[in-house]
Amino acid sequence: MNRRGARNGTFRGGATAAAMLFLGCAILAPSNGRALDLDSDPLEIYNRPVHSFNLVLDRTLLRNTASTYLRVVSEPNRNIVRDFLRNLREPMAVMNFLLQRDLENAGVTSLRFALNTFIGLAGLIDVAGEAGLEHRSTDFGLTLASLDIGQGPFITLPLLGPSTVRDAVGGVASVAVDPVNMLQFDLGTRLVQRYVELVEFRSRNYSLVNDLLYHSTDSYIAVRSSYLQRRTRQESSGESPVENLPDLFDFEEEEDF
Amino acid sequence: MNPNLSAAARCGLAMSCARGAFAALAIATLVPMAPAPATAEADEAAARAFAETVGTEFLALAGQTTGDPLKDIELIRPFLEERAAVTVIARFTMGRLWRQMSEDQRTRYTNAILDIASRFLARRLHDFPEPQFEVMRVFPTARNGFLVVTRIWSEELDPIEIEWRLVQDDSGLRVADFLVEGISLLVTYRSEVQALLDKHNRDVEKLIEELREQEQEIL
Repeated sequence: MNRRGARNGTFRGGATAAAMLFLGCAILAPSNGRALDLDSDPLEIYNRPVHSFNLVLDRTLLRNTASTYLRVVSEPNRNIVRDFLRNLREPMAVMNFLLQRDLENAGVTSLRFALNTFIGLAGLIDVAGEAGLEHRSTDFGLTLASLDIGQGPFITLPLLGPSTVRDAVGGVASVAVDPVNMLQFDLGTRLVQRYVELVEFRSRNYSLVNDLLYHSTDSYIAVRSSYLQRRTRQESSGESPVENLPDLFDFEEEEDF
Repeated sequence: MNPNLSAAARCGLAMSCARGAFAALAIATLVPMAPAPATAEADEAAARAFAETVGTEFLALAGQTTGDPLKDIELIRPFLEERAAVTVIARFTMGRLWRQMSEDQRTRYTNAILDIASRFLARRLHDFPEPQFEVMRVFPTARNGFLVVTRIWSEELDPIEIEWRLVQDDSGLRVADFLVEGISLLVTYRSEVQALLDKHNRDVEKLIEELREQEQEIL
């Protein structure tokens, strides 16, 4: 794709993101505290077939690729891949931290990006991490959460897996406005990057994902519950971990029915 | 204590238990004399000592696996029975239906989830190659419970923070839950059990039957 095409693509991406944001925000009620409702799932009838499709994809493709990757690539080399991919995401993280008015994390992440890009061989070595500047992750979904936008229903996306309407909207916006994506003119390159990210994530969490998908009582419910709980924790980062704990004894006060 | 534990592990475990027992004894001695804030501190110290003891016991178990998960279950089940808040876990995962269950159903359900947890751990215990473990922070929670933040790492494993949810029962502190990155195993399992109950039209017998079938699939 030439430069003009890239600009057009970027414009189209931006317009899509804006439309998605508008539509998404229109159906997302403001978040009411962070009460976690794990059982509300109005899209379950759609989600379950998509989850089954994703399971087939994982069983036939992603799991095998991740297994081979774990077997063939040594841990130090896997760390290099992880650090490189992470570095590509740092500019987007800086943008999100700024939107969240989190200047400290924006500053640390900017510094990490500068150090790792220029001294750490374009992010192949995490020199910033070794200097004590640990990686901090965020995304557009969390930015929307910081604006008090509710998460909306849980949704399972083909290929991409668990999400909520808010996070899906945030994901589209991220793809459209990510500065690194703007430099990659070739759609094929972007798709390869995304697939490598998936394989890297799958391999890093190999046993955990296997347990969730293949050894849980109901893999769809296990994935949904895990995803929603993890996002709730990410939203409440900085708060005491005790804040969102469920009452293990609440049934004692319930009336018989 | 399990006879399969090596001398070194037994020694470490015994020392750890002794430390835990000593701390508990010291705390028990101090508590009646101490003012309220000191009591809270003593309770947190007891929770910390308990977590250290249980963590050390667990790591000793991990070091004693035979490689045969069916044999390793015999190591794990007594450990869970002694240290896990099994009844609290069973009640929480069943929710309101617990009140309508007969004693026999409660026992069979509790045994089913205990067997599943034992098999699950037996399959995964080999995944902990010579780990290190430390207690980082302790937070009080409702009803004299605690959230203990621990860190586990090894040469092959980047540090992971694991939070333990401790509750009090008649015999003292017990482990009710583990949380990794905010994901509670207990809450996740409750969602799964409730989904199974919905699938079986809230029939406890069918739920137990299916849990037993799933247990066989784990190993």
